[in-house]
Amino acid sequence: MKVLVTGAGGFLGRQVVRRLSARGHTVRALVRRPDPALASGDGGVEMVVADLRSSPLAPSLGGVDAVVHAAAAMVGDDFTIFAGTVEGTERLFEAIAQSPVRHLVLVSSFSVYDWLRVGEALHGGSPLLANPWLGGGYAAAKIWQERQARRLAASTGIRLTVLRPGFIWSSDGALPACFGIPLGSMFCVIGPRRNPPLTHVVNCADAIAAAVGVSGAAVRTFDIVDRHGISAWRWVGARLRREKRGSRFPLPGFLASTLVRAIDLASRLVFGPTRKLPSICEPLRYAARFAPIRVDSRTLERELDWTPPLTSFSACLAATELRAPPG
Amino acid sequence: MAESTAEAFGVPSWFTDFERMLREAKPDVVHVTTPPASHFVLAHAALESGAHVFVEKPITTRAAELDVLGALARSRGRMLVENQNYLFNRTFRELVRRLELGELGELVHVDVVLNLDALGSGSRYTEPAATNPFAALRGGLVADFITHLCSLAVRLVGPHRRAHALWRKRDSSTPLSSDELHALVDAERGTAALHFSASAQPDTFHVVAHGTRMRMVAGLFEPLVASERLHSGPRPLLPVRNGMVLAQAHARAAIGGLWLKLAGRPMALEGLAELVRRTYVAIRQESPPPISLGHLLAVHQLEETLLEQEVRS
Repeated sequence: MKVLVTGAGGFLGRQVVRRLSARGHTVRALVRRPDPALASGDGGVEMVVADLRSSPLAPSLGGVDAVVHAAAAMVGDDFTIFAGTVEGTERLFEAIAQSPVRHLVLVSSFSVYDWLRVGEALHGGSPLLANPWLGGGYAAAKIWQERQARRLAASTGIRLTVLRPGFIWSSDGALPACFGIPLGSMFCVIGPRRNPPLTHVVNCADAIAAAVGVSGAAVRTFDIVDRHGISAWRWVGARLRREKRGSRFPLPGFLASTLVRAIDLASRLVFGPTRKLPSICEPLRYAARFAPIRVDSRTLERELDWTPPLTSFSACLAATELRAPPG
Repeated sequence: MAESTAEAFGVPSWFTDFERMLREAKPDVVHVTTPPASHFVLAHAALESGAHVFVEKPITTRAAELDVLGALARSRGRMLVENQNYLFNRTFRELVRRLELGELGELVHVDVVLNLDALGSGSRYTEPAATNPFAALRGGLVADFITHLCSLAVRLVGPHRRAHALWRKRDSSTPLSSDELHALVDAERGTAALHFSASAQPDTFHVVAHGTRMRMVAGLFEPLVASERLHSGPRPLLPVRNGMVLAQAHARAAIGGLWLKLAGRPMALEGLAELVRRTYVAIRQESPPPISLGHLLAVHQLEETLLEQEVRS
């Protein structure tokens, strides 16, 4: 199949391009800035330099069978992230509606869930945020993208697969936000016995590539997490040893969440409903990062008839990724 | 985007066609919050439709366009207000009040200083030209802030007679023509120096009014109001006495500023709420607008004088 990947210059998008090529698809990679490393990868990737928010998109969709939409604004304030993501998505979906594309794979996020009501295990019917903005600009953008994608699927009949990855990591990338907080040279591991819902970038990208072209129901939604559970304590330890720096100390989850609830209550009493706290002290944002949660990885594997390429923690640690060029 | 904004704020209807919105919703007041280059066309159409108009700064990108809008607003009997929000911060209003009471003596000079880390990681101002509304504007990054500097200065020293501007571009990686402005203004009631930098740190936004009897500073990011004055007694002790007063005022302002942030009421938005409130009161009571058309024109004539001196590379 011919597949267009948006956000192909990003942390996840680069891997998706690579995994799609490895699976025999013809890939057109949409990037905002020219990226020679992408074009020189396996399978002769066609690179298109365009911005979803301003460039004409119909030419990029010519002859394309499926689109993987992974582009999102990641930095800036809540509104910048929301507007940057949603503007581009709206233009892309308008162009898809006028194109030969038959399948859309939308890369969403765990941030769409209402983590204060999810409970102990995540499943297909887990509640989403009723007020998208409570989760911040990124969560609001992802919820809005999902809604727009479902409307597109309903009005055009194209197949839609929504994939919600957990915390995406790589052995040398930035530390995901689900472990704790750095305090000087120390690292405070919050809820050290939890198994955070992680997915290695190679596994996540391969799941996305595997979803392209798979037949099944018209609209499907899956969570992506790695099958091997590993505690936050062990993960941070492995990371610190590898980087030969700092030390860690544990902060039990129930203590941290009680503290957060107390700070939230106190600030409401003192400042009223308009109060503003650092994001880690907002109960919902805290829960999104640190709530102990079970996620079943087998549904995705069964439904897509897919096996992750990296099946153990040590294999993930040893994996090398297609890295962005320096600068 | 329109639908999501309507949903977030509980607005019952939304449009993506401005003309259709004016026809169907028939608004009494239109707030124009789009990028600067579109302000003139939208504000013009809104005034034509009979609405009062409240426009984000800069109200227009050319002073000549403001003349057209001003004439239209006058002929239609409608209000034309620009969001010069910092004029309505409590601290600045206190400075104006004490100046008008004569506490500062005669006003000699005003410094307006804005240092803002606006080009850091993820900044919308660093976007490529195609998606950066300031890339094509005179003044580059400064175009988004020059109205604040000019409005505060004009409020204190009046319309300008002449002005000299020095423009700089320190960050070569952006598509912006300038990111720094230093200007000297000779005006009816005194002189003013305007400074904007996206590089000088830490962030600050303050106005210092130098009078013949007192020097007074008003913070616009922190609730700072402090003054140094002439006292009776030995002159060598003057700095000691004033220094202790200043130190107390700065400590109070720092703690007060943190308090306001935790309360979700940042200083940067305080003046906006007050300006919007006064605008709606004026519309209801059919009284003069909180910012006069004469003041608007004087501010933008100063802006035009400064912007004309920017040599684009």
